[in-house]
Amino acid sequence: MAITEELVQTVAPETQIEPQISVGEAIEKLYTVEEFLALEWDNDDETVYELIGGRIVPKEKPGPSAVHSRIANKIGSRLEVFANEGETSLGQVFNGGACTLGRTDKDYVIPDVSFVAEGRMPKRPSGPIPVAPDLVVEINSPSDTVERIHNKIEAYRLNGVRLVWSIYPLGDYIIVHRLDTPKLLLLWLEDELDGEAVLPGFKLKVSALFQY
Amino acid sequence: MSIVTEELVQVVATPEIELELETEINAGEDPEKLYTVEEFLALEWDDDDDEEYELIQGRIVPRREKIGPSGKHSRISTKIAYYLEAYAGLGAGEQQLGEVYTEGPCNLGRPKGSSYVVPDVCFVAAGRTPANFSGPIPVAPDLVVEINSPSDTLENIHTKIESYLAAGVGLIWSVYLLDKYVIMYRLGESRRLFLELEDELDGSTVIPGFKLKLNALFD
Repeated sequence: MAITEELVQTVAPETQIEPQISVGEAIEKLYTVEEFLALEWDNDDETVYELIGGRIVPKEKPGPSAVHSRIANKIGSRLEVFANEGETSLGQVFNGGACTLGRTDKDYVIPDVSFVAEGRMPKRPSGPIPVAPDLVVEINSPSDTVERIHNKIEAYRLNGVRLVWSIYPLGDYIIVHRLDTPKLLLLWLEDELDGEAVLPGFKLKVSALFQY
Repeated sequence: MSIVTEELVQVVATPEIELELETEINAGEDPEKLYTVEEFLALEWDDDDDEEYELIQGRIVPRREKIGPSGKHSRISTKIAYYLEAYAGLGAGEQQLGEVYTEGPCNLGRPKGSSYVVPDVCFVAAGRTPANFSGPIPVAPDLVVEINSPSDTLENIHTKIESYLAAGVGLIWSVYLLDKYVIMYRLGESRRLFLELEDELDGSTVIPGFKLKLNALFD
């Protein structure tokens, strides 16, 4: 919205609460995970924040939608069954598990769903998932910007996440990112998600995901 | 430019709505109000605001967020327009297939009008526009090219594409600058085409034979 000068003067103090960090610091400051976790947050602020490449970014403004939650649940539950229905566990599935991505000190993210292969998680972990997951599922919200999605996927790539399913419920498609190739894969309704080398044999029809 | 209406100014003075200033233009007014193109064009804009607005399915939306398009954005749209012009426009001489516009405002709405958009590049087949029309392009283009900026939200991108398809645009190239891919939409086909660096843009049935390597575009 366009604001004339007078408007800015009257309103400025309040509008400045709006942007991110309730902690009046320069927005361009890069944080380490440690600094990020030590910040004092405003209790009245219900926004969940992530640290992506050292930058503090609000995860979602109004909280995830019903569609978002439904898709996350479908994928999470199928992954859980697939990974743990057999005699030996293939790994652990997390819904909304906070994660420091392991290798660098710049990221504290909350993927919608993630999977860590057997043996990679420490026994009885406390705090966030300390390693980069093998598979991350992100369900993109309508309010997400192209840049935000890009930066997050870049953080996953830099930290060695092997497979990322970036889901676009608005367009009914999924973009698959793999660590070992810059080539992307776009899946439409008639295609299938595939666990590839991370979860060999795992398949899930895209159309099943977008039926709600 | 922006809208400064009397109601807006009044409302802004009352404390509880101040935070809503952040959200678009409709702030002071009913945020759910849907505009027609006519109402939209009749609004009074603030001369000091250099932002551009579009009307998408009745909602007023800033066209680019604050900073305007980047150099790269402008470069890519110039390249596409140039190749289109060379192939289907003036470059085709007597066989000219239509007209290419950069940043040409389009009135997509029919019959009443609810979308007034400014695609980065568009193409209108020969004979579809009345001779010597004035004002915005009065028909839905046959091809629309949108170069998505890093600050665009998925919702804005999506709603715009929906309104192009609803208006009968035959072919849409939705260019993702940051990630270097293009999603191609063809009217009446639910399967979208996904193009990466090694692939080619294709004029489909709108501009038959037109091809453009993405490599050349993103170079």
